[in-house]
Amino acid sequence: MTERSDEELMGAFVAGQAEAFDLLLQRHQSGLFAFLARQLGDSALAEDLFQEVFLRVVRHRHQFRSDGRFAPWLYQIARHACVDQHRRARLRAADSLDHPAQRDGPAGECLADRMPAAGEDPEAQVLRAELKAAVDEFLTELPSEQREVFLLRTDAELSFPEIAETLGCPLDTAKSRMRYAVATLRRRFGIHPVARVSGGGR
Amino acid sequence: MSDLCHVLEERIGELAGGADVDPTLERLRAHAEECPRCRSLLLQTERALEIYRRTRPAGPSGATLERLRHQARSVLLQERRAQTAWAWNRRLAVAASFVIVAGLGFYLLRGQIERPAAPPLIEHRNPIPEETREPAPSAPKLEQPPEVQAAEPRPDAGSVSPLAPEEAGEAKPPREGYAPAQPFPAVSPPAGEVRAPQRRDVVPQSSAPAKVEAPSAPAEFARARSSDLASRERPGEMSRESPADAYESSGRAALTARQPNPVVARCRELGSQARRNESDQVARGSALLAAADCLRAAEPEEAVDLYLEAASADPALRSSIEQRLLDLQESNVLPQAVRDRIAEWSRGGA
Repeated sequence: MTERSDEELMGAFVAGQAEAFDLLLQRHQSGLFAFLARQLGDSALAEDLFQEVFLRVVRHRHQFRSDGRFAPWLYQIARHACVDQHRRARLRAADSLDHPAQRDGPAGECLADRMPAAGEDPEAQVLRAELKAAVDEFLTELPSEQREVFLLRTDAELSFPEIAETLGCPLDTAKSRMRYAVATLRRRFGIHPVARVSGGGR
Repeated sequence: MSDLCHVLEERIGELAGGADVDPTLERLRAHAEECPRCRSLLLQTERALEIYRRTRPAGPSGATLERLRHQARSVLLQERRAQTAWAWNRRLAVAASFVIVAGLGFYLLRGQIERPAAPPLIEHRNPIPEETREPAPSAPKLEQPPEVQAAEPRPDAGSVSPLAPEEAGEAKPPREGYAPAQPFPAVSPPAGEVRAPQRRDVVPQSSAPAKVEAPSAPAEFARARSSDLASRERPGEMSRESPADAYESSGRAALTARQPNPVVARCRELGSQARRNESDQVARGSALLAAADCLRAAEPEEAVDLYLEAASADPALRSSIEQRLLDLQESNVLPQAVRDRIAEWSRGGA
């Protein structure tokens, strides 16, 4: 039995099959959540936005074109949700546990991330925190265009044509942005001590 | 540093991902196996990506996923209900439209439906042409005494109503040019009963239906009976009343009317005939008694004479005659001479 494509599942969901939506959710939950979390630098906020994105999918399912591709459509919705979230964040004044610990610091690190996870080795916690801080620093360093391409490629695992369709840019532009983003990553982590330490252990 | 090294450096982002299948990328990978610089570059890039992927967020919580599934199902269910409601509303609208159209059509066509039924009614009301008329089928029945008709109804006696000739006991073909009233089902009276027509517009205007209208009122019946009584030769066959009562009532009627009564004259004639009957005294006495009863109210003095003659003809009638004479005396209609004569007759008999 061949696996149904995203487009077929979306068509079935538009026709009223709730099971098709479950399959789509199962396929894209990891990549979308990673994309959102990396973009926003906030896991809790990413979870809220993840729910909002899929609710938009449910509400606007009839706007999905049958000849289109589902992944670019989904991540376009996610990008718009992120833009809306950034606009709302500018108006937010009160800090909470979900709020970034340092406004000018690495993106994605929040107060909850600094709390140790239950049952985790303290040394591993330290290494994990350092690595996450380095990754957040790397993403902050990237220009937004390169970051989007990099996140869509590495976290969402979209193909370059899908990335180009999602961002509305030429295919070569997407590949070029990816090249620069990877060069930046290599410079930061190719000789990174954490990479050497954690490369054999984990 | 060859051209392939430049190409690999430019496409290192595509190579590091490793998902896309491209012949150029495969050739670059093969080049990286041979070129130490390119191999080092590719290894560092893949290692950096591996480090980056280690920090990949775990994913949304199960509660969030479950909430999403529930909301998706709720939205689908609401949409399905809305579609069902819309479908039912559409059906109801179609049904209501159909009912309205049907009612309107019925209302508009009702006049056209009723108009075709009018011609038979008009045709029915038209007078029957003279050449197609026939005498009323039951007109000859009036020759019999109506009392006899009413007393002995024949089971097969038909109605004389012209509205229902087919319901008469005698099978008669429908008259030509006379519609036998399908729009107006005829209600025939019970067998033997003669009823006047109730619909003036359907009564034929010929002379035959006039005979059909039998006298049913008591006054008309009494008149017919009295005229019939006058035409009878023998009083005993006139009616079921006793001859004496019949003649007495007729005599009283004549006396009240103060007119020459043919019944009285006939009774006198019968009395004269009885007087001439010398052969059978018993029959003579009975005839005289009957004539006296008839004349008792109109001509009491003549009745007294007849009573006395009847008593002398048949002595067996004496007791009944004495009672009749006593009644006459008590009625104070007799002159004194006659009353004395009666008293003398009574004493003589005693």
